[in-house]
Amino acid sequence: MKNRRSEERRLTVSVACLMVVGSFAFAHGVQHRVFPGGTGVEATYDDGSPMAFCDVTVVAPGDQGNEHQTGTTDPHGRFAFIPDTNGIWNLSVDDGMGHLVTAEVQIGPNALVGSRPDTRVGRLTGGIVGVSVIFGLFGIYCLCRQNVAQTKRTGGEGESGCTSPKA
Amino acid sequence: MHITEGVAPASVAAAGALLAAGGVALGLRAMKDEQIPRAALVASAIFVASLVIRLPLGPSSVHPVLNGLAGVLLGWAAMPAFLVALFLQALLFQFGGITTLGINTVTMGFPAVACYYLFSRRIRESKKGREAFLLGVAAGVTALTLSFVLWAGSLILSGKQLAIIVKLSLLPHLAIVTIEGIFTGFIVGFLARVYPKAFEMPHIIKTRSDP
Repeated sequence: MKNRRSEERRLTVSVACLMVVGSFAFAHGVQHRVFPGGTGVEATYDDGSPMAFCDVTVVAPGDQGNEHQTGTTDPHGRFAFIPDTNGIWNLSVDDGMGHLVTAEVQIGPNALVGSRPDTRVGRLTGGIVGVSVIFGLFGIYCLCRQNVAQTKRTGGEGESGCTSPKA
Repeated sequence: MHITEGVAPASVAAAGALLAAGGVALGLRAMKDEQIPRAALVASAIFVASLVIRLPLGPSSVHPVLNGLAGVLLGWAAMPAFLVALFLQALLFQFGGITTLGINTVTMGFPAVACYYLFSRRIRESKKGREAFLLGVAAGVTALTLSFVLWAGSLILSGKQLAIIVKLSLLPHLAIVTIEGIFTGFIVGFLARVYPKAFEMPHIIKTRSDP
């Protein structure tokens, strides 16, 4: 009988201890603080419309293949994050429909932020250059074919600018 | 319609490049010397069309592909025409990409070749302008629909979700399919009336046996 009471007491004390420890363990409050800054990118399509609500993946410097952070662009195609180390951060924005843009954000000792320069040419200039190159390429191909055909007809005696010269 | 750099994994990009290389080789073989200027003209039209005409539909914008027209005018030669046009678009404007050039060429070029087999002969034999117009509409609609299917298939193979692709791009593509179908119909109807020789293209097998 005495032993039984002793066991009950021990059990009661143990449960009480567990409850106290448990209450400490779950006693995490939450709070917030507002801080300025951060680094961001703005992703747009070539016509200037924003890549809104697209998936963003952030990869930290020297940690290729591992995602540091993922998220979604806002309605204006913008996404911001807080880099915690210096180096080149890689951000990719993917709309899930075959359009993906990658940006390299350089975080230096002086928090300099840079990105890859835009190498696109103007539409009018590019259009003129493109059409000229297309006609040039097909023209060269046509000349090559004619030269090859002529060489075949003359048994290799004729001049050919596109075939290898015969010894 | 262009799949940009980095979207497709290496295996999908390599498969696309192989298919495109085969198609372009067949196209170059089928092309006769006197058809090269026409191929250059169509390649230029393909190159310029997606730069100039942009309709703000869907998340970004849609543009004409003109692969139905290219198919009935060029046959297999549409493959090299698309390769050159897409390469320059990737190089100058970052439309698509160099690593995805093969996928994009397959996506737009093979439907063009399919349209050549389906419609070119019928257009050539059509007696009335209206018949040629309707066949042109059918060519434009068929080519772009096949392109959409191939494009969606490439994206699914690249790990994208079918539901998202359909939800975001189906309606804009339906709109451009309609517009391009009508546009192709007008061009084909006009050419069939004033220059029916435009649709005379030797079959690839016949070209091989040519002296």
